[in-house]
Amino acid sequence: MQRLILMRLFYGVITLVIVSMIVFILSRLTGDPAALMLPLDATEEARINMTHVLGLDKPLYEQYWIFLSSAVRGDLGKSIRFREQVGTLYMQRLPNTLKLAGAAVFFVLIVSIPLGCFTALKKDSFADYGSRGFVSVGLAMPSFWFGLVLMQVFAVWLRWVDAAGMSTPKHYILPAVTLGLGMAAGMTRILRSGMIDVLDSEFIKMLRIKGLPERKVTFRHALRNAFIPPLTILGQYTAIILGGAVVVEVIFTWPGVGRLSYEAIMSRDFPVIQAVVLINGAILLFANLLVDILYAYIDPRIRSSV
Amino acid sequence: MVRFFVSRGVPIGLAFVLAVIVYRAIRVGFDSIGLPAVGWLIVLIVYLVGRVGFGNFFRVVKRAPKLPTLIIVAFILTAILADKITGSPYDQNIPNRLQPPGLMETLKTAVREQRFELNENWLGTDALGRDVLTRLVHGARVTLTVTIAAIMLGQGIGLTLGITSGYFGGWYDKVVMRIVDGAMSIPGIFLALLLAVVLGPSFQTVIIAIGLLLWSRFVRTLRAETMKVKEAEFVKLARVAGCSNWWIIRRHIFPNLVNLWAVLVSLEVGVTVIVEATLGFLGAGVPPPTPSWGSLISDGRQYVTSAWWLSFFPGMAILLVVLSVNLFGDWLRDVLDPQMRQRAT
Repeated sequence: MQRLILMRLFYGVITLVIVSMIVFILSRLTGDPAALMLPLDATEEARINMTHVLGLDKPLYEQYWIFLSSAVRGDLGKSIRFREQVGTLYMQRLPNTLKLAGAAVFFVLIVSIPLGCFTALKKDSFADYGSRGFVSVGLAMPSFWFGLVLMQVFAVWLRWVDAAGMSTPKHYILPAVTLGLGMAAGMTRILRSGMIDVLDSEFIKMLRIKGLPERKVTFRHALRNAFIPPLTILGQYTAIILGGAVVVEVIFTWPGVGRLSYEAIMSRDFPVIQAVVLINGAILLFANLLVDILYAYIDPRIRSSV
Repeated sequence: MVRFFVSRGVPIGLAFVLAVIVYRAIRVGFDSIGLPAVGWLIVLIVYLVGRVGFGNFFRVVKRAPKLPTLIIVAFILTAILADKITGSPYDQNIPNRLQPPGLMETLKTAVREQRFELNENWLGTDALGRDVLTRLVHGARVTLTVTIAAIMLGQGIGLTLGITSGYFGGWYDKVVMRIVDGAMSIPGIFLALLLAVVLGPSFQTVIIAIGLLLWSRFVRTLRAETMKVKEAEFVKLARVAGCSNWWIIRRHIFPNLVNLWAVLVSLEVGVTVIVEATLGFLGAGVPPPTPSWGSLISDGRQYVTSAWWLSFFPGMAILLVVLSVNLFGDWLRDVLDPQMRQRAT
């Protein structure tokens, strides 16, 4: 188990270095940051001076080394737009994204677990067809459009919730549903097929013969066994949301990490872009590691095999 | 000789001609490709029928999901023949701006006044008085072109790297897999946005951005399958017989991957359509005034309270096309690669 974790961490660090290289090269291609930072009527001298101050006149590999070594020490540089430390900027936005992610994951779980279990138990029933329809539509839904439709219907016409803002729990409903729809659909599909396989197995029949109540068979035994593939997906989803649900945060003007990165890309604020991608990579890596450990917790066979 | 030409030459030729058609569509303009594209489709169908046999072809096609197939065919034909079906998507008519959908008005007069009157502008007009239906039909061209080109690019890179890294293994495989991990840990839409901004908004940019988002997904699966096929007895025998690596990959590995590859392509089409629309929506897609479904939705966003039809119909179109493509892909997966159902999870 420890060896597995160490191995994963080692690979993860290499992956992060590669990610940092990709992003470094990409963001240096976006144009001259010195020109962006200066006013439009700046002199040529001021531009050269600025280039020197920012260290942009050094060779590319040296710039990369400076970026990487300061990133390791926790210094991710200053935002060009906000003239503020990127770390602080990120930390200001992160709680908002965390709250949204929590709401979305909650929505995904309350939709997909009952739906997945129920439709697996009542296979080929009317409800099963309905849920399959939900899954297909949910997976095909363009989230930016779905968000607009929800806003129009529930905020403008029915006035049940507010379209923007984030002060009350009511504000979380629309973004969370928009963000969670596709994920809930994916989870339901995987959970359903997993549950069908498990419910068909010998030990479930054994438990039923033993006279265990159907509720216990479903939730304590079948669900627990069918939950591994969905857990992987859920881990990936959570990491993706934490990395910034760019589209949803832009539509609902949610001041989270996703909107920060969108604004950074649009205004070519490359220290922010680099930082966000690096931190995202680290989060994704950590989430995958966590999922692997959770596997071992749920399934003793994995625990003993490693 | 004839056999060789039919089995190898035709698919390669078809792919090449498709690339040329897409290139012309982007460079010269869409109106120039109507006839070649239709010809290409006919050749493709004739080839497929000839390849699997008349009876087999229709037996399989008959089992295809009907509505999704119909929608896909309609989508492709509208995209190819857009300028023959409707007028120009740029024709403005300012006095006639923000008209509600004509079909709805027709329905209203029919119900209220028991009078049937077919109105102009079936799906309404936008802020410059341009017909929404026309722009929607022409937007299908952008979607189709970007989808074909981006998938050709993405699967090309993915197939090459996947087969070679799975086949040769060693440090090359390790390097490729680390890069794939790296590419996969950057959120797709983020990477596409970044690329779109770096390269500047254009048709080519969108294609490259989406292609570079797709390739890593292909590498993983194809590499795993290559490693499995590589262990098979016939590959070892081929090596004993003195076949070169290139020959083994071409004649023994690739034919065993074709089905999986086709399924992967069909499953990524939906993703591509949505990403293209999302880029258009976020302002990093094909630059205006070319209508694309994503930018139509974002244009309609500011009128959403007064003119809902501007954003509603493009969104509906995306939903329908992606839904059909996904259902069709699921069916194709069941036909070509029944084990994949388990493998996907």
